[in-house]
Amino acid sequence: MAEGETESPGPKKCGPYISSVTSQSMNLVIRGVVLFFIGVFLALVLNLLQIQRNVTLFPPDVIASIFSSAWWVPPCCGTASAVIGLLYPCIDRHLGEPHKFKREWSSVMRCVAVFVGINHASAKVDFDNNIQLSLTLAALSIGLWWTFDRSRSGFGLGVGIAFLATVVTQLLVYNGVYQYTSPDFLYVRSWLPCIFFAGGITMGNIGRQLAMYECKVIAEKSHQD
Amino acid sequence: MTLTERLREKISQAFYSHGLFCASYPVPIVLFTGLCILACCYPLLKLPLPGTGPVEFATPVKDYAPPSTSPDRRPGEPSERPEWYVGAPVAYIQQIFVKTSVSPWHKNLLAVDVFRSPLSRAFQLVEEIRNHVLRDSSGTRSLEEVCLQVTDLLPGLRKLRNLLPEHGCLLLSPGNFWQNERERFHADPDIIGTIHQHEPKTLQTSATLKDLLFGVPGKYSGVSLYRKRRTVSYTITLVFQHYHAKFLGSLRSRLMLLHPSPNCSLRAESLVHVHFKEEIGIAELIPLVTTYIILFAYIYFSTRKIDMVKSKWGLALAAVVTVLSSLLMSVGLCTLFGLTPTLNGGEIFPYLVVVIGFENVLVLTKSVVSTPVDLEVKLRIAQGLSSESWSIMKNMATELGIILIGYFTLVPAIQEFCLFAVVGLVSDFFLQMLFFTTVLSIDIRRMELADLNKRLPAEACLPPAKPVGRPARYERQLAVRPSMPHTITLQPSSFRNLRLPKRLRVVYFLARTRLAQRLIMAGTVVWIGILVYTDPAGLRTYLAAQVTEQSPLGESALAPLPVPSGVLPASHPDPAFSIFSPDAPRLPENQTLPAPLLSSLTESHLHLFSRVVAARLNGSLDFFSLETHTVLSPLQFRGTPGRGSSPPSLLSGSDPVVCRLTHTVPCAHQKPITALKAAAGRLVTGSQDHTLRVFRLEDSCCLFTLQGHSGAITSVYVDQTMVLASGGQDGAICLWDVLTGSRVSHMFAHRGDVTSLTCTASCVISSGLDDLISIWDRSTGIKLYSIQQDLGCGASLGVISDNLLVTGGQGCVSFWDLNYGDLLQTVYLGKNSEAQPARQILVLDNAAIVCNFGSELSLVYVPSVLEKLD
Repeated sequence: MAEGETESPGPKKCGPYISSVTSQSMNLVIRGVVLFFIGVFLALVLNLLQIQRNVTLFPPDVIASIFSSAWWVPPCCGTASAVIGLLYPCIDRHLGEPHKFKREWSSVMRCVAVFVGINHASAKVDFDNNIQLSLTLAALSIGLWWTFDRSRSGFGLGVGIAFLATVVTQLLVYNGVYQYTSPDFLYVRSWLPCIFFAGGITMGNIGRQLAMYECKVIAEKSHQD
Repeated sequence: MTLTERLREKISQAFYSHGLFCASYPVPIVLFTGLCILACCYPLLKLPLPGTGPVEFATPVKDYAPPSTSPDRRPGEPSERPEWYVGAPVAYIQQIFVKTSVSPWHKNLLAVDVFRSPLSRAFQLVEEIRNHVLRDSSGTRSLEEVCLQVTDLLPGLRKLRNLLPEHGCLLLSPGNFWQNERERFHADPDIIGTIHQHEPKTLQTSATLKDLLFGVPGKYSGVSLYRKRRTVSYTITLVFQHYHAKFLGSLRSRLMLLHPSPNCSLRAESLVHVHFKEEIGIAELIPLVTTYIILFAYIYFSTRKIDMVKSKWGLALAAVVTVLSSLLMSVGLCTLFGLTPTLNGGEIFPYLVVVIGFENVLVLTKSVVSTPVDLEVKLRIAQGLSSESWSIMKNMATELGIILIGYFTLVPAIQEFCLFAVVGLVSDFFLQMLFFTTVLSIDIRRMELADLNKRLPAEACLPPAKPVGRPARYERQLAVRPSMPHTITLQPSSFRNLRLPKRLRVVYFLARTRLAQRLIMAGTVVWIGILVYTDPAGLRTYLAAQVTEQSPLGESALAPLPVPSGVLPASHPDPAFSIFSPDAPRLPENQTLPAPLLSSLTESHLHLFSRVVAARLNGSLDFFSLETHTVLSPLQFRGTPGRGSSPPSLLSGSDPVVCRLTHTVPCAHQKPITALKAAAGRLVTGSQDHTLRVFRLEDSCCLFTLQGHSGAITSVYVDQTMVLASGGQDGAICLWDVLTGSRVSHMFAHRGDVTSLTCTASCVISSGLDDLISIWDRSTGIKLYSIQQDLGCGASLGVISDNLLVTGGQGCVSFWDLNYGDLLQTVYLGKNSEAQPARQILVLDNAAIVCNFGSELSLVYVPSVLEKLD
């Protein structure tokens, strides 16, 4: 960064906003909040898609919003997406292989659009049987990873998240918190892991892109020092 | 040299020469591409506009039977039937087409005479049709029995009250303009004026009144003074409730007998089914809007990367145009080759754009602008193209491969999507190579010109009349001074300092203030406003609502409940009015009632005096109070409640009772009220508009509007403990708190309508069209168990005590233990052979049960229950 060499070190050039972002924990909190809200928003919208087709049945609640889902779903999804979005760049840093593949917002947007599309397909397209649906969605999810991620850590983390989330869902349904209309994989739909995998990849993508700003700031800082 | 390298070389070479070619002849190529796009988009004109317009499907008229209510689609078998072709239609429409002309035509006839005689024949024809009776072995059948009975006009059509039928058969003919009275027609001095008096002045997209009554689009009717041809066409439109082939056949042969004509049309071969789609709700809209927001974000982030060019906006526009027109071309080409799109275009469009993507365009731009600046424009384009040729081809091949894999999933929707995507990708490639590259070359050339302009003295470049068309001179100058350092900066404002001709200054002013864009935007907003205001769906809603308003009374007309009012013990100590509630069939002769009809009626008994609440089909409520001191027994409603002017009388045995209108709620609901219950000083109404309302009985004040159903409300339950339950056509049951107006729980209960609903202290009991009785836990909303009923006995149930349920069956009644779901006993009534299904069960307060077996009533007395109750 050119200004680092000419100016005396200090936050004068950067202004108050950047200086607050430079503090690492603050940056982490901001990223977490952004990811949380993205997660909440996606959860609401995708839930709406599923409810249209009566795929999931939630017991009604007093705080039943216009989105007609239980109140705890969006916060849970938001928290999960914040965790995933922070975990991905963190793991990248620990493995020491910074992610370089297609680091642009347009690519991230494309990834989100494909993710919404996968959800859309799972809710709206009429498949002959569940196996076909699940296989198609699995192929789509893997395609999503290959197109937008292509990192081994991303794949591993995605699979882990999918497994964990499926187990949690099974437990939730088993305990009667909510239910699926026609379960075919123990208590849930068999395409659920694919959706979770794709969601993990998408949130990781967003998280990495957000972390790029932090990396830039840190690089600038180190340059100044 | 390996094969790949050789291939790479070849591709690079081809792209290089292509780039040279594009940059050399920019204008012809852009024109040619534009023509290509237009030619490929031409088949799109034949496609219906996206939206919720009616869809059609034809079946042969022979052996026609209404489709079953459940979709019996076997997996794997591609079905010809569209998804909506399920269940009996709301109405059948038969048109009788009349084509007439005056012959011979005398010179002394006036222009109006072209219409006078032909139209006068319509009255005769209508009369013949109305009087037609089918007589065969099974008895006689008149038009009144098979036609669709209507009861009321929609509020929006009130001003056409005299012209459209308000009650009786729905039969439309041009005669309606004169209230179907021949005298009026003959006395009318200005026929054309009468016909056209309701024609809208503005542009109208939906059918007008003239179209409706003539039954043919206006331009085919021939009723206009400016026509040379002297033929007049109109139809008589009949709307039937049921399809009755024999009746239609006899009507046809009778009409052919009465009006023998050599060119009478032959027997129709097919029935056309028309489906009016439901409008998109907010739940459908939110994901759609989200995908579009993501799409715009994607376009924004992509085009933001275009840099180092003369006009960023221009190139971004070109990129968007490339992708959009490739999609249009794809749909157009697919249509041309016989594929009709079945997917919802608006829904898959964002995904198609994302799949096709802007990546190639961006890569192209980047590689072209990063070529050495001092080269000639042609060479820059060619170099930029050839250096990225390999990656572009590779990308394209990968995407095609992925999409081809998708094509082999054998899911029709995905296959169609992939087909569109493949054709879209190919046409996108075509457009990139021809259209976008050429636009890019024009842009680069303009940039170099701008650079030159900056470097040259201001006078030298004063009127740059056609900078794009004549680039050669400047290029030569550029070649003369190659050592000059080039700075590529965009300074559109540099022109402002120059002394410009007036014409250009006006243009720059327009460009600066974006006047044109703003005007177009304002125009669009006004246009949309006009479209919304004129309501292009007017006719459709009229027909649909006429038909839906029919439904509650239609059912009652089919199966009139033969419960005589004297079934109640006359010495009943407490007037149990609530038994009488909310069914319309209580009305004696509903034909004699003028519109608006009462749709339901409820009575509630307060401490000092009684109240009667009447709901009308137009959604209004009337509150009456009964002024009597004697205890009321079976009520009969006689006459109609005029709006406060003539108090209707109620008979109770021999005592006349006067009932006084106290309040009227003019628009309690937007659509007909279908359910009505009163308890604990509250009145609850449910309506076809998917909402419930809670009123206070004393002052008819609306306390809450409860929203949560996604279908019309079919049943409502409310009791003294202020618990309110409601069931709807969506098969869902909602429990509400009447004190706060909040929804306590929401259950998906039945496939099909919920037909009745009742509650005990601990559970909710519902029955549905699926002949199931379900018992739900009242506090948690979890289904406890369900009971399969005999066919046709779905709605017959009653609660005797908190743990005793009685259900009706084929000639029997069954008693169930509510807490455990055990069958306690089944009592057979009468002989088994002539068993009828129990349609309805009433439980009286002394634990007697009245069962309605269609043609007979059975009174079952259950002494054991009394003991239990004690």
